[in-house]
Amino acid sequence: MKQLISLLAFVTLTFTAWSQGGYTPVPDINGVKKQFADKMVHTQSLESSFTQTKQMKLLKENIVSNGRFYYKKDNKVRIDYQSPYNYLVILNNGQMSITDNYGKKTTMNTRNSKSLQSINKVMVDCMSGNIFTNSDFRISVAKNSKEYHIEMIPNTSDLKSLFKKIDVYFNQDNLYINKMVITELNGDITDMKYTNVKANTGLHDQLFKTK
Amino acid sequence: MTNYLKPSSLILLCCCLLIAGCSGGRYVIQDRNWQPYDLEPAAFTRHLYSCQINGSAGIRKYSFSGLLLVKEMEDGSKRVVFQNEIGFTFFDFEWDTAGMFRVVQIQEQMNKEPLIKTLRKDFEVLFRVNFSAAQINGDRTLVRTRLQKGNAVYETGKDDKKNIYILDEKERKVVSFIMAAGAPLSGLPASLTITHHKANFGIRLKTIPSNN
Repeated sequence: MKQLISLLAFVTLTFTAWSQGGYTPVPDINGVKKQFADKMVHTQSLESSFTQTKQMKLLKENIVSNGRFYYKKDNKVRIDYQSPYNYLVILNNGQMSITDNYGKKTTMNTRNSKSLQSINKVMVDCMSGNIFTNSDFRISVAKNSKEYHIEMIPNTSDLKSLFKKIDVYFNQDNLYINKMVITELNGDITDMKYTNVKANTGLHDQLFKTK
Repeated sequence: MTNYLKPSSLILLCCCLLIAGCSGGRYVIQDRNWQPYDLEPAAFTRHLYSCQINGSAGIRKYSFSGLLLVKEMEDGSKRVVFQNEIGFTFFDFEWDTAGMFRVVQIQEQMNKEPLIKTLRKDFEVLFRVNFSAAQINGDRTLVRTRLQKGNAVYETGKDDKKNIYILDEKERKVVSFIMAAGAPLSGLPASLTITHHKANFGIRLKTIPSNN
């Protein structure tokens, strides 16, 4: 009986949480999966501006940064922070390079680290919309009149040690990413909003060069 | 002459030059007229820096970069949180009002005792936490305080020099804290480079403009 009450409470709380953002759960996600799969076939590249807002529990004010984001099929992502600091992350088929605010460039092979591999994959999947095939996460889908809200809860111990969950929001009309929210274990939140998203603009491979 | 410069001598000479090049040199303190001095802890509320930590463990080099938040909490405790730009926390350290140190959170890749000990010591010297009695020299240009090993020396700002050095027993520089010009002695600087001369380890901090 206690188990039944716990289950009911869990279902009610989950439903309330979804509903609070005006989202209702999508019970059968196969239709949504197919929509994303069809869209991916026709998406060769994406680019957009982004605004990142970091909410740290220790700070009263948020840290806001801006930059440009690029994705190119397959597995190429470039996140270019331009203000108030410079920070460039490039993911390209298992290679990751980071150029920090001091201009120092570090290149690493994500294949040597399970955590980096997972982060690499989740970043590429979130940008491309290919998240339904990512077995590192338990995925649930909800929607309102404008967006799909995809909640990703990590399954693996590597990812569980990094963050509590990732919420990704996609525009229902064109299935482009609108927003990604990373919630850390301590409750800190990183919210990345994407604006002026453009597809298939013919991005040059040079943008994704890691070395 | 060539007889004296056998290959083994050349190797020894090269090693000596290398060691001399790696060390921070001696900190010459001519004035020895030290008087007791009340060295207050650094006063600050909040600083947000871009941060780079470089080092090596054995033959493997490492480099972490991200945002470093230094904050004095309402209860008087101090926190240092280092995150990457995308949002993952590398470490979160706390000193309570009694100076007790605690690792609140740390990523597995940084969870190494020597690294934590080094970071803790550097921040304690910077914040002036857990310090014994201090002394000031005769012309009031230097304040020094005894550490477990050696001394920490603070330049008071005369001639615009406000750097900090950790010296060993022979007054050789072990660690240098090079501050941005105009750094207040009482607080934290806008930028800072910490160099460990005997170990391949360093920290660079640069204030992020507060336009948020």
